[in-house]
Amino acid sequence: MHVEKNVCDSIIGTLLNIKGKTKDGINASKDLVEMGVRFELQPQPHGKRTYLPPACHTLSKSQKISFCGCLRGVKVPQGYSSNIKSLVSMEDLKLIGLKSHDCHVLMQDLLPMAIRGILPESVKQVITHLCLFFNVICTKVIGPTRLDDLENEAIIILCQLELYFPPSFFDIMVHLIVHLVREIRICGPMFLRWMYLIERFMKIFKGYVKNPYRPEASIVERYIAEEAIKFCTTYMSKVDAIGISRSRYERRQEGKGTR
Amino acid sequence: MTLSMMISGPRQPRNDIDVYLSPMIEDLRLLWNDCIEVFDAYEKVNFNLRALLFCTINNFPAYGNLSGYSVKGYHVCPICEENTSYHQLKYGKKTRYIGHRKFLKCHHPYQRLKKAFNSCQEDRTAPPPLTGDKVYNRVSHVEVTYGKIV
Repeated sequence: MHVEKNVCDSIIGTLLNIKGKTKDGINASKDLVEMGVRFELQPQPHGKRTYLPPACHTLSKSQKISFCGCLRGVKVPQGYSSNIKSLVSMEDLKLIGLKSHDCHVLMQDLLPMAIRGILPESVKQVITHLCLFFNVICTKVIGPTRLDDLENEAIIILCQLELYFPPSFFDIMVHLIVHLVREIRICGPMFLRWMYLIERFMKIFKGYVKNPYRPEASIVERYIAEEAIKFCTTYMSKVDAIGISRSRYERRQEGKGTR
Repeated sequence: MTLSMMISGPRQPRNDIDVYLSPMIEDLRLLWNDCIEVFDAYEKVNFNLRALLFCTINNFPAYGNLSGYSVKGYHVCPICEENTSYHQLKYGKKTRYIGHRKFLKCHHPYQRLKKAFNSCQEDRTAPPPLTGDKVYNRVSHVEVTYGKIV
């Protein structure tokens, strides 16, 4: 789960060149020169300033606007994900406050859509393949005969990422993609083990904290209170069960309207 | 059964994690050695329940805590172990794990490319992953003192 989330973070940080999150920069170019590859990207001194040539994954400002604008226009069904529109900042051209499940949704569906037509064909293809790979391993049914092909595909995707992205992109989380298919072979499908459910539940716990000095105690106190109320309501007739609130659109489908 | 637990504090518990896990160990011992009698509502009979710890789900840093394996430094990948290919970046001052070409099938065209990757051809092969027996041989001699470090 964190593999997907961290890879998504570093891809978006590098593409949008978000300060503090990007893996590209002057040090990455110097490292490329030291490794003896991609000399066309080496920093060129122009008087007092240094000019960094654009790499194949660098986006211009208009391309960034197109990327963010695509994500800003996304509308999803109720309960599918958080409101993606609220995560995009068009002023700074970056994504703010991504939760792990947002990264999951981006990686599964939205990222391949957002990069259409703005990146060079080769880079676009690699990122799309990576997203498709994550999409396939997260499916509920996965045939054991497909696993060998998937494993080879993951390795080829990583090699292609090495071709286009700077070496500083490859932290341990990117490496662990190689071993994901092996995990499926041993432990079964991914959706049973990836804890997006728990991570979303953490948000509910976070809302329980009233006294920031003692967060754990207030979580425990309010969780017990809620459990007690839940228990009591089972003995009361004509009372709605507490839990996940019903969406307002559900009632409209029943013909009752939202107001 | 899901056991949820919260370990508080600004620092990691290190070996003191034994203190947090001891209630679970006690329960597991009880459930395995002298089993408890439980009522089966479907068949309406009593039966003896035994339980064992099958697997754990944790994130990568917690993996190091639980298994005692290194999750930082050069040999960081728990599956490749000593054969993890790492590269220390001189200017970025980070350790990066490149060299995925060794996992490719033999004679893949990518293995002969030089300039596109790290200026040399790849002739290594992927390391075989550990088997259960090998892991047991390795950890059977490890001596651990449980409990809080004083």
